Order: sequence, then structure tokens, then C-alpha cells
Amino acid sequence: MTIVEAGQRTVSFFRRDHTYVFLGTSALAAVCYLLTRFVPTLSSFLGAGAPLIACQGLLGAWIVFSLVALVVKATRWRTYDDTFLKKPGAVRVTRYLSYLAWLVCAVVIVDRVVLSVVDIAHYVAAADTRTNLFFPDVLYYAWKGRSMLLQGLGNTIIVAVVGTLVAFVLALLLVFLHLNPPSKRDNGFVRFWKKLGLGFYKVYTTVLRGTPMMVQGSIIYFGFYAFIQGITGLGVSEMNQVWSVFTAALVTIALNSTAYLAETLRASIEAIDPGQAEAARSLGMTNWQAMMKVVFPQGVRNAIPAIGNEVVINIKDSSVFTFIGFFELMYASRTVSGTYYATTEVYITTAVIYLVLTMVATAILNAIARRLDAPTSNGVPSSN
Amino acid sequence: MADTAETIVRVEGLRKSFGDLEVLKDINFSVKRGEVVTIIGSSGSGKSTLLRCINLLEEPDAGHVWFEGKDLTDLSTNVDKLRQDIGMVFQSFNLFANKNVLDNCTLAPVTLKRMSKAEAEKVAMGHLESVGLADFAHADVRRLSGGQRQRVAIARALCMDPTVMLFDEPTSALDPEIVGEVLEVMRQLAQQGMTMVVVTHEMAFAREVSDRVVFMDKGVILEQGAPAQVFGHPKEARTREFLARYLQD
Repeated sequence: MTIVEAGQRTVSFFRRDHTYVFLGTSALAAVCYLLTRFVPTLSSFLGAGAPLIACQGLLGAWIVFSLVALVVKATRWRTYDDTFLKKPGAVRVTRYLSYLAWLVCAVVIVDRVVLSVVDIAHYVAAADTRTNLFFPDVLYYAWKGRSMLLQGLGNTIIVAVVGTLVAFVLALLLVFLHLNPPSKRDNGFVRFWKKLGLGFYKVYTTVLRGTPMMVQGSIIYFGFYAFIQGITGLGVSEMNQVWSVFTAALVTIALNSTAYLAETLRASIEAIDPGQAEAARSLGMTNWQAMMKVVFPQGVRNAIPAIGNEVVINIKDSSVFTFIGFFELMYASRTVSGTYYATTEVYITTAVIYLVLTMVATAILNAIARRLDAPTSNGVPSSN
Repeated sequence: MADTAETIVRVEGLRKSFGDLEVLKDINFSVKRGEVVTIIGSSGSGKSTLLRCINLLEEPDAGHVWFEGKDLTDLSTNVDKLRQDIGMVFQSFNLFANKNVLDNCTLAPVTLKRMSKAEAEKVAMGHLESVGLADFAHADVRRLSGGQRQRVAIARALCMDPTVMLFDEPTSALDPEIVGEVLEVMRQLAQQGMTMVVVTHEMAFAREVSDRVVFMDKGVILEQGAPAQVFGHPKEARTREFLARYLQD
């Protein structure tokens, strides 16, 4: 018997009616048994008395029962189907017992995990100082900095969502410059503008995709600040009304995403079988009509997942606007961190907020894509 | 009939190269009203390119293409307008994937002929009926078989009420079992007097249905004439060689 065969036999031994009923439940029961050994917190209803001992007893009994089943199976592998464990009634009872074990586990988890977190959160919310324990401190600073973090979160969502929507409209316009190649039949004037448009498209997408958004944001914010001030001669407080970091961040993210979305749209449009455009032309439609009626709707639909990805990317990448002092989630986190002299504890909260945000956004966008009968994406896209 | 009828397509001195490859070498060719012309020849002989030059999907390097007396190669000609009267059917069907069968047929008439949707649908249903697909009017084109798709493509072209129909290897992408249903539709069309130019490898069809057979080889029209003459008594050795290979099958 080779090693592989031995391995396969071992796996089949364990998998046989043990995967869920015995193995899965036993593993969970063991974990929950360990949880019962922790000191209960304030709102624990199991406490340390009789209810707890009952739970421990039930979990322990289940683990012992599983071990017995395992031993029976191991020793009587060939005649396993004839053993008392495989009698129809016994199989059903075993399954009900496993449900009971899961129920006990659920109770223990609520008591020892959920309520503990609630208790700690309550405690740190009322506390005046940090606890010097890592997890309670994460909650402590999250609570202390909540108003700033929420404000930053709001700004992040606004800039990412509005910026991408504006970018989508601009990208639709921009990609038209690429869809209208100059032809022999155009007059010189039309051909000149078409060539100019194509050139602009290429320069725009190359420059905006070839430089970091942090740099673009800096140039747009400081550049326009100096420019507008130079023309109008406004003071600092008036300038902050006319050209705020919020405006600059929104403009930057919109212009940046326009370049990426235009390239995405172009790729999805070019992926549409050129035969369809040819068929439309053969029926007498102009290049423009063929694009608008046949190719473009299909291309945009295929681009929907990529547009959703852009929202998620912008949620994460808007963090670079910390650099120009825009109060988004990262800047808010830095402020909280500076205020309370705490670093990792705060940034863990920041990471969790970003993660929840991108996951929720992905779920929403996939739901929209499904409604529009477009392909969906999976996972969180990488950064621009 | 073909002798007295007016010429509706005339090609003169047509040349076309793709890079260094000269695909069409000084082609002269014409089609009369009501005529069914099949173009045969081996792959790469230039027959599809010639067909695509007739409605200027392929822009020729030199020469002229007249359609009903208008020169398509003249840069001031409105080619889009003339293409409305030149129907084309492609090897790979090229149906609009974002539209159902009926909308495939009505898109061009509604967009270009200022027809109302209802009127265009009435016309389209007539043509779908004649290709045997009236029951599929509201079907998604992606769910149709190859033969059905090609028949929809023919109906779509007919909806523009064209003067001439170009077929670019319409059965080459089909299963042998399905070829018949498309050829049957084309045969009916020929019987109704439609002017047709057909690039094909279906020799039996060419022999039976066409008024004239054109044999192309290496970018030139080597020989043309009535099917009985070209198939029965080919003048050129190259034609005999080509036909011998096909008649073996």
C-alpha cells in the first residue's frame, strides 16, 4: 500500500458519516469547552454555577460519545454498517444529539464571546483611561474617536461614490474621442478635430494613469489654489470657501478615475465582436449609429463590474488625500491617533472600517450588476 | 433575361492589397438585375474581398465600384445611403447580441427609413415567416442554432428591401446537416428574382441555382460563364484542378 493510498483510506475513514455529525461538532464542542474555562464577565448569564456545569457536562459527554463512535468505526471498519451506530434509529438520534450540542455551543459563544465584547465595550465607553490590554484598548480608542472616525468615513464615502459617478460620465464622453477614428471620407476640418480628440485621449489616459493620485491631488490642490488666489486676490478663509481640500479631492478622484474608466470602457467596447458593427454598417448605418445602437450598449454592460471595482478602489485610494489635509477616514484616524497617543490600536479600527466598507460596497455592486444581467466580479480589486 | 437587363453592380480595375499581399489584381466584374452570380475559388483567392469591396466594407486601393450608376469609390458619395440597398449576409451571422430576433430585423428600418416600430415589425414578421422563423420573433439570438441565426441574418437584410444581396460564405460556419435549410431559403430568394452575389463552397448549389459562375484564383477572375459550361467544360487547367478536388468529395 502506497502512502497515497493510505492517506486516501484515512481520509475516507474520517469522512464516512463523521465529517459533520461527529468531527465538526466535536471540534466546535472542544472549542466551546475551552471558552467555558474563561472567567465570566458582568452580563454573563451562565455564570460559574450549575448552568455552566451543565453545559460543560453536555459538551464533554458529546466529545466522549464521538470518541466511542470513532473507536467503534476503527475497530470494526469492515462490518461498520452492521454496528449499532448505523441502525436507522441510532443514526437519527445521533443527529438530534449533534443539534443539541450545536445549541449548547451557541449558548456558550453568546455568553462568553458576544456578551464579553459587549461588556468590554460598555466598560471602555465609561472609562476615563485606557486599560493597557490590547483588544479593550482598540474598542476604547474607537469609542473615544468615534465622532472623528464617522466624519472621516462619511467624507470617504462621498468622495469615492460621487467621484466615481462623475468619472463615469466623463469617461463616457472621453471614450467617444477614441471611437471616432478619422476616415478618408471626412473633410479636412472634421479629420483635424478627430485626430486632436484621439491625441487628447491618449495623452490624458497616459498621464493620469502614469502618475500617483497623491501627486495629482497635490498639483491640483496647490496649483489651483495659487492660480485662483493669483487672479482673485482672496484671503485664506475665503479661499477655503472657493477651493477647499474637499473640492480638490473630489476633482482629483474624478479626473483620475475618468482615465481608468475610459480605458476600461474602451477595452470592453473593443472586445465586442467587430462583425456586429460591420453588419450594422452593411445595413446602411453610419459608424456613429452602429456604435450607439449596437456596440456601445453591449460594451458598457460588460464594463459594469469594472465600474464597480473602481468605486471600491476609490474607497481605499481616497486615503492618499490625507496628504493634502482632506479629512477622510485615514486623516481622521491619524487625528485620533495623535490625540490619544495610540497607533496600532487606532489603525486596527481603521482597517476594520475600510474592510467592512469595501465588502459592503462589493456586495451592493454585485447585486446591481446581477439586476442588470451583467457579469459579476469576485473579491476586492487591487489598487490603482 | 440577363442579357437585356440593366447592370446594377459594376466593378472596374479593382485592386486591393493587405500589406505586401495583393489580394485583388485588376478585377472587372458586373452583375445585372435579377442575376444570381456565384463566386467560387480556393481560400485566399480574393473572392470574399471582392464581395466586401462591392459595398465598400473593404476600401479598395484602386478602381471603381458602381452601384446603380453611382460610384461608391468617389469620396463625395454617401456610401451609408447606398449600403441601405445592398444587403449582406456574413459567414459568422453577426447578429446583434443585445437584441432579440425581431429587434435585429427592425433596428435598421426604424433607424434609417423613418419607419414606425409597428410598421417595421409587420415587414419583419413577413420576412421571418418566409425564412420559417416567425415563431422565434421574440427569442434571444444567442439561443438559436447556427442555421436559425443565418436565416435571421437573411431576414434582417431583406427588411431593408435591398436591390442586391451579397452572401459571404453563408454556410461555411454551419454543420453539414444544417446547411440545407439556409440554402433552401437562398434558393427561394433566387426564384423570386432577387439579384444575388454568392461566395460559396457549395458547388451543387452554385451549379443548380446560379445564372453565372465566376472562378477566382490568386486575385484574378480566371474564368466565368454559365454553370453548365464552367462545371462541365472548364477552359482553364486551374479550374479543372479546383473542381476535381471538390467533386471527389
